This record gives sequence, C-alpha cells and structure tokens, in this order.
Amino acid sequence: MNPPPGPGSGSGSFSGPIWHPPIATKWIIVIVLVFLGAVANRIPHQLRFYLIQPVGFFLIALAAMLCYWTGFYAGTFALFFFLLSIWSAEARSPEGFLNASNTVDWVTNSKKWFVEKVLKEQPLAIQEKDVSTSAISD
Amino acid sequence: MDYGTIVAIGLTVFLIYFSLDFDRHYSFGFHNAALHPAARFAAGLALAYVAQTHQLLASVLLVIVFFWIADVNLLADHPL
Repeated sequence: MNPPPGPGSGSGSFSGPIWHPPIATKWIIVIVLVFLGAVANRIPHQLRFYLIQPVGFFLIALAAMLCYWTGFYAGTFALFFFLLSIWSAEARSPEGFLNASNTVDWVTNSKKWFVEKVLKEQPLAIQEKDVSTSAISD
Repeated sequence: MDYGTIVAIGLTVFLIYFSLDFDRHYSFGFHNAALHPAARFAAGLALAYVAQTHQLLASVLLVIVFFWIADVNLLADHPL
C-alpha cells in the first residue's frame, strides 16, 4: 500500500519526501483513532470530559462528516468509534469517592469496628451508608 | 432504495428493539471480551475495513460494536 512514487523519482532528480511510511498516512490516522477508542478508559478523565462536551462532540462529528464527503469512509467510522468509546468510558467511569461528596461519610474518630480491628483496616470513609429498597412486586 | 439498504435498516431496527432491556447484560465471556482493549481494537479495525467497502453494513456494525462495548445486551431474552 505504498503511495506511488513521484513523477521525477526515477530520473535521478529529487522530488517529494525522502521516506514514505509503509502504509498511507490516512490509514495510520485510522489505526491511531481506533487504538485510542480501544483504550478509552485509560485516557485521562479531564480530556474525556472535554471531548464529550457539545463543542467537542460537534467538532468530532464535523470531522467525520468531512471524511465522509471526501470519500474516506473508514475515517468517518473510526471517528464515530472513537467518539462512542469515549462516551461509553465516560458514562461508566467510577463514581463514589471521586465525586460523591454528598453520600460519603468520612471517618473522623479512631474507634474501630470489630471487623476492622481483625482485618487491620484503616478506613477513610464510608461510601455505602444508605441503602435504597423498594417494595416487592410480582 | 436497494435491498442492502432495506436489510440494513431492518437489522438496525431489530437490534435496537432487542436492546431496549438495558438491565440485562451480556454473558460473562462477552462482557470480559468487551473490557479487553485488544478485542475492542480488533472490532474497531474490522469496522473501519468494512466501512471502506460497504457503508450500510458498517453502520449496522457500528451499532452492534457500540452496544457490545456499552454492555447493552442485543440478544436479551426479550418477550415479543
């Protein structure tokens, strides 16, 4: 899949870049996008947050549409795959101690429960102090 | 509208209908595969490869791959 050589490449005169990548640049971009989508849960939370904001969402969708108009359909779907993976990773990001200040009960005294003494635990906070129940329905 | 378009639209509607039960998840093996980056990378590459030749099929594949990664069970035991 090497790009074809330039018109002057065989006559001894230099034209164009010295080194061509083994595959076309657009496919390298596709592979990088798919790879970033595959490891979306490893991307920092701050960056993912900006990507799924309406502006970031719009810019990525615009780039996908440009790829579609130019006939590069693989780029379009790679961008969609990347965007949906980012959104999915952001939707299932761990909650609780990260952004649950209303539900976390911080441990402030040194008095421990028996199980904490036996297991030699050093609790910092109690996350699941409230239990939601519902009536049995058949 | 050719037959491929009709089949793709019908398949998409079928998949979305069977994905409405969001409480059900994939089996253990499918769920573990969706969490593995190599499996998602392979699915994304297959999607890009198919997209270059058949966009409609790639659209349906995008729906399937996304629901698979998002752990939405497409094959839930949904009562018709």
